[in-house]
Amino acid sequence: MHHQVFDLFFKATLATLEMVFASAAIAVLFGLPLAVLLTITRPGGLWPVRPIGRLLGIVVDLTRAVPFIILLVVLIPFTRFVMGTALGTAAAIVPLSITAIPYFARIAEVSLREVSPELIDAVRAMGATRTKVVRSVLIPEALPGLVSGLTVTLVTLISASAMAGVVGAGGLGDLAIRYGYQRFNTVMMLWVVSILVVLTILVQIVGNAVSARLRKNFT
Amino acid sequence: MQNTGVAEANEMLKVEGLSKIFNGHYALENIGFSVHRGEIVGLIGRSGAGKTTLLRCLNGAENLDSGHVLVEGKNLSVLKERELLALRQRIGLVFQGFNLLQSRTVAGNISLGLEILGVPKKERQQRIQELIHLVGLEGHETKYPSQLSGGQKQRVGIARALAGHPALLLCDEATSALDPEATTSILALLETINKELGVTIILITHEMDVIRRLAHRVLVLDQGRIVEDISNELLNRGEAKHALTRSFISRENVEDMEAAGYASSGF
Repeated sequence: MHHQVFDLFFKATLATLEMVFASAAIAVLFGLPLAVLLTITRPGGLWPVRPIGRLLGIVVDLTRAVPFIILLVVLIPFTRFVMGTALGTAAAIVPLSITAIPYFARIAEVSLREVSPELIDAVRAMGATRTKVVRSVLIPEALPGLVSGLTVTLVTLISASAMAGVVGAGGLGDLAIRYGYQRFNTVMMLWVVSILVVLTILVQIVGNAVSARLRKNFT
Repeated sequence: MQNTGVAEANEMLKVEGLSKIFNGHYALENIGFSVHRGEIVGLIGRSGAGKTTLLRCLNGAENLDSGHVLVEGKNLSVLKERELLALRQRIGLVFQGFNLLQSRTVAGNISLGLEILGVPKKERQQRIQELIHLVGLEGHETKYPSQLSGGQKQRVGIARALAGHPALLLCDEATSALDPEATTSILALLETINKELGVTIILITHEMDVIRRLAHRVLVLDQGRIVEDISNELLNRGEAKHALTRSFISRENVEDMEAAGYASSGF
């Protein structure tokens, strides 16, 4: 491969990774507390305040119902407000995070709900505060599932980040559109697809390994 | 008057006129009994008799519809959330299903009991070692619950329950998930804890055998009421008044005979 082309691919891959991991980090930062709230506000939960749970559930589901490509466009003013620009890699992190937060929250919620209510009840009965139960029981006991959920989120973000190329974000998607699609460069297109496939497989392998390692001591 | 005073000081737990209603039915009806310090009381009843509900009332996990529960003279119903948490920490709980964290080792699970009490990290390590020694789990500190037998898991559960030097230990079917050998060893451990640490124990069970081996006194619960309150001594002399108590004893005898037959056939 020509040196300049290689450079192009290298930079695009880095940009994609930056978008994916930065938005995944934000998704966990906001999505995990959201998932905890969705879980504990259920009837019979640790903190059964139904109105809060319902409200959060509606917000999460509405956000998830909007197709990413539309969200991308709708969020342009918001992105401009937050990042100062709606173009480029950094700007793409905004819509990617907004789509990943509720996505991760719902997946994480499933894992958190699988933690035995009897165990939670027991630790509560031992005199633990709710915060203690969340920190020492709910999250650690759900951790293998949460890691799997993060893996799924990362994979989804890789494909979404490629879509962000449409609105001028950098990365592999941008490369595919400008060279592969607009200039009919099929080889470039194939390269982009190959790199995306390899990234996805790598994320999946690492995610599965970490989750399996954590699950080792679980029955 | 002086006598009354002494009696009260010795009183670990007092339940008076306790009723709990679920869906218009009495789950517990006018329950009254007291337990003095150092006593082991067995609470027996068929499933659905209200045993677990009663146990939940004893540590303030249920709101009462009437009556009250006094633990070390403190009325649970009038305590604020914070005070209730503090009081719960004076009560150790042992569960049928162990309720251990799968994500933590033996030492980590025992540590949870200490963390709940707010014991500083530096002091935890030594207390964990003491507790591990007490329940006989030396060498298993770094194992996970999934690597332990049922009896060992229950030892971890007991160690965790004892973390805060509780005055009272509530055991909810603590041996029901265990095989006979593990049951024997856990009952022996509970007896040691009672004798050496002076911990008052309330045992919930549906097995008369467990009660006869360990308890000083038996309460028989039927349809939400206490139908018999009798010392183990009188029970062994066959002086139980209520038909249900006698049926528990005779059923156990049947099991004993089966067990004997089983043993003589070469196993």
